[in-house]
Amino acid sequence: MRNKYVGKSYPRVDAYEKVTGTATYVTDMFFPGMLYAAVLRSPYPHAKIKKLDVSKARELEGVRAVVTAEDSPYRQGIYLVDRPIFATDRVRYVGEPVAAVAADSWEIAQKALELIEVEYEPLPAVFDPREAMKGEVLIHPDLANYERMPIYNIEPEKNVFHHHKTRKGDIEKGFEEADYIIEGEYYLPQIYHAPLEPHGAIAYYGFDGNLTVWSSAQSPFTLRNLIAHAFKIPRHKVRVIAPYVGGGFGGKAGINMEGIVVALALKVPGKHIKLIYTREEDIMATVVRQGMYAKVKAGVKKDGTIVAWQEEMIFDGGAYAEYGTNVVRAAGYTTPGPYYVPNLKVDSYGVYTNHFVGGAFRGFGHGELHWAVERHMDKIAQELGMDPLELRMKNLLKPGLTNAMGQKIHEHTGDVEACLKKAAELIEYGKKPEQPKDPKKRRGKGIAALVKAPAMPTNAASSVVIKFHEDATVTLQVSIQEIGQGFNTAITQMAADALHIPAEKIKVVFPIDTDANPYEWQTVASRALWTVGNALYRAAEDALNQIKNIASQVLGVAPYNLEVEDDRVYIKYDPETYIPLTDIVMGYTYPDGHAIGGPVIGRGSFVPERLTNLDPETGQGNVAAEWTFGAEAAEVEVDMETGEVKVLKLVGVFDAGRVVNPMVATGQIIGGMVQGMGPALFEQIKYDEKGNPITISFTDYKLPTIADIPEEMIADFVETYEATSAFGVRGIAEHPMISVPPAIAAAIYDAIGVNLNEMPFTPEKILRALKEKENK
Amino acid sequence: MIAFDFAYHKPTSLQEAFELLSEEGAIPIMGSTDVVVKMRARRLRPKAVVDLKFIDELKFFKFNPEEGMVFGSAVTMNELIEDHPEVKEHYPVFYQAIKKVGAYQTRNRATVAGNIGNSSPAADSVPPLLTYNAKLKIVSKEGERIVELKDFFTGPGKNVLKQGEIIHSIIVPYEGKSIGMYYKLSRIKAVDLSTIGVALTVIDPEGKRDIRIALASVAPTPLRVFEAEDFIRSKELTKENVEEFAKIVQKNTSPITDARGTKEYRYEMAYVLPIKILREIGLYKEVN
Repeated sequence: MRNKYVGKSYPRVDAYEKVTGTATYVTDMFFPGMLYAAVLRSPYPHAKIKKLDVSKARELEGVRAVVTAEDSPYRQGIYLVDRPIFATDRVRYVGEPVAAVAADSWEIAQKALELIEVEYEPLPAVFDPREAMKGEVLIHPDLANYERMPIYNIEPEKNVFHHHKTRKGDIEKGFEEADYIIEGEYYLPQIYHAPLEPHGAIAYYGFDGNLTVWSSAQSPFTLRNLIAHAFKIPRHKVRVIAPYVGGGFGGKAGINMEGIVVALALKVPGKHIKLIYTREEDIMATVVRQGMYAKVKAGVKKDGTIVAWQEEMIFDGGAYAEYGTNVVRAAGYTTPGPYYVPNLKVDSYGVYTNHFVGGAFRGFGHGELHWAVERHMDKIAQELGMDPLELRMKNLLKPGLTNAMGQKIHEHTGDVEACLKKAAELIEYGKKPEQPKDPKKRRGKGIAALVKAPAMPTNAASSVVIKFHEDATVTLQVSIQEIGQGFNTAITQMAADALHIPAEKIKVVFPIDTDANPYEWQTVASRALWTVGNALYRAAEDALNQIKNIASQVLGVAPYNLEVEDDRVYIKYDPETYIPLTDIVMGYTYPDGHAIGGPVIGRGSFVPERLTNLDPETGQGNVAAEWTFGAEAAEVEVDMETGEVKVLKLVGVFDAGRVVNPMVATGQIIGGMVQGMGPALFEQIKYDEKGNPITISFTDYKLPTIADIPEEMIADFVETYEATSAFGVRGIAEHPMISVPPAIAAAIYDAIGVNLNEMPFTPEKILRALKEKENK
Repeated sequence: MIAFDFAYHKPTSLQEAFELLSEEGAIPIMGSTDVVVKMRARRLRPKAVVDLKFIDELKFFKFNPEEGMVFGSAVTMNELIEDHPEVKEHYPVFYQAIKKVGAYQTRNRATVAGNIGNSSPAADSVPPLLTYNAKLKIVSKEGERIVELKDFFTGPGKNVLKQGEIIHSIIVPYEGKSIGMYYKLSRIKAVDLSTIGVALTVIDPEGKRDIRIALASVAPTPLRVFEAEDFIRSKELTKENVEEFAKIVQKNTSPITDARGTKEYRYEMAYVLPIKILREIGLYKEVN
């Protein structure tokens, strides 16, 4: 493989379209005679549907279809098939779809909604997952009968959709060996993905029985699979086309709102039906990050060695679990993060409540688990009177040790120590911050580490097709979605190096079309460059071998004596003897007209190697393919009169294996750190005491803006070559968001000596904590 | 998108606007930065909206020391901030407050008259205008009247405007040099509503030192606290006096809990912020 493009800040291949505003998103798409959909939603968090009458809506002029659970009695879900497309008999959260209308215009569809008559009988609801576990209110009485992947462990009488267990070493012996037992509780609420582009989809059902769905989807193939599964249509008759996605952050993975337009399309063959969610719908009725309550009990030696770690995480999974099952599992098997603890007992519970549906969110359980782990590390340091960085350094997961699931850490797994050292250097850890003149304002610094592997099925597959054209340019067919992360750019660089041709001669085929593209599991889990890189390497080898085989016949030398370089294939020991690639890639034609070979099409597939499921009782196994370590640090200023927190500086350092594009990777880290600031300081889905959501628009769901971000943000890398990747790479996409909240919490402690154990750190909570400290 | 039918009118003269507004269910709009949000959420369902921002007569700005500052209701916040240096020079607290409304894009559309007409207790432009004794010229088919801004609001989203009346202009007397601060406490630093806003204006700081204070988001309407002003008038800014001043401000508030903050926090800040502002503008040195 050449090394010409990987490692360089090659300009983004999607820049022209995005900067000029010509990039196409689903909302930009129109078809002749297209119909517009609208959705009637539940106003109750939990209620029986006593009566549902759509007859008046059906009679309204311009209405082409009205569907309810009666017409479309299907459930969907990637790991646990528990989410009906339309509420069936009962509603389980505010915003749940009850009926949908397709009409000639959006306005008519809206009018039709007002003509639908629904009678509800409110049911007792439950909003705290700890309460829900008592089982007094059962949200899914039929849970035991739902279809699910067998690795998920349900406890239906407790509203538990997954219970993960880690049992490693001997927890009781660990606590006996400990000099101190330190306990703590931590909480974070649900948060919203807030993609710039809300969810949207268009469906078309042809008279030939073929269904096409255009969707703002992170995972076109998995979407196809789940639509086909839910609606019982053969896979080859479902086609998903996925144009650009304006931000996904996990919320557009798997299947989401597409079932609604599909249900309508099946009623109106020959018509395109479009549904673009409003911001309010996007917040209420897609998915959100689950809330979590954690209880930790750690056994620690006097010198800071952690010998036992017992933790219970209770996730507020919302009304349906679906994808969220695996969030609970990933958080369970990764705890206690980047630290080695010989004796472990971890229970991670996913619990139904009558809140919004929880699902995949950047970090996938790791923002949650590290919140508890990293806060607790600080607490241990405080109680031992030890420096928090020193405590971390002492307990790191280093080569030769085993992680929570019993996997051995190798040199090539990555270097968390180097990440922490670099982050400490960049934040000038140990050097006291310069304090403002105003004695009511205090500054402090904090640091936190993290680790994350892709959370995916053991057989999550990728494939790549490379097609050469007459002029020896190349199109690359790969089905990872460009969701802003820069994949199309990075894969272009990697393909150029693998094929030994200029990057300018390569185009990534876009948009993704499941009828034409090769299979890809999903654009999730920070796995794209790693998994597709491996498939690409094989596809490039395949293409190069085809070229060399043809050239070998023409030049009369063995294929292994040939090399491809830019525009030619030449003899290694006689480089001046070559054939232009243009003469080979469509097959070689001799002067007399007879031809050999044919168009060069390289093909490569990949599944992760040697992964196994976890033992259900102990959580031991080999379910993680590769781990990315990182460290993040923050400097903050706290106003002790108002409780306001200003983040002055953020640092993120990640062991990327090998950085493919420093510019794109830096952008990813800065974006992720800003996204991590939001839930730390102000993001939260709030409900009133009756369970009604009160933050369903950007008026009250607040995100960081340019005015909130720190003046200084530094992204840096450690590069420990990843041995399981043909390119030495591993993922860094989700990671930058993960440990920003604990780093900020640590910085607040450093500044004013109070511990914030519940996100977000609102001014009120900070003042309350200061008062509690004064009263002590 | 707005899910119901309504008429949109774009009059170019006041007479035309009066006719359109005489219809039941017609409301006046300016930048619509609040109205569109409410209409999308179906919290406001007018039959017709009458867009006043194309009426030339409402687009003027003038300032002279005798009459003070007078500007028409169609003048946008960004025009006040960027085109009229008198605003920053003579009414610094008002200038600070309007710079904290929404984002730059919001202020390209938003008007002070709209902010007043919307009558939210959280209106950022209002507390400073209250401290500057602003008045409104209100016009209708029947004629015109002048209303003191402090008498304009009657409750959250409610005011003394009658059907068919519009705010013609805002009149802000000039009482000499002023200093002060608008402290906006919000969840994020831009594009947010005030959790609490405090405008503290000092007229003639080196001379008679007239301290005035008004607050947003602590009562059903924007609130000027005359009782506190009377207390501190001609008193030295000692620790005791300043704390008493802040206590009087605080006891005049009646905050509620909403998505932005609790009543307890707002109540506490109604005490903390007046003192903090006095310290930040250099009139008070003590640190508690």
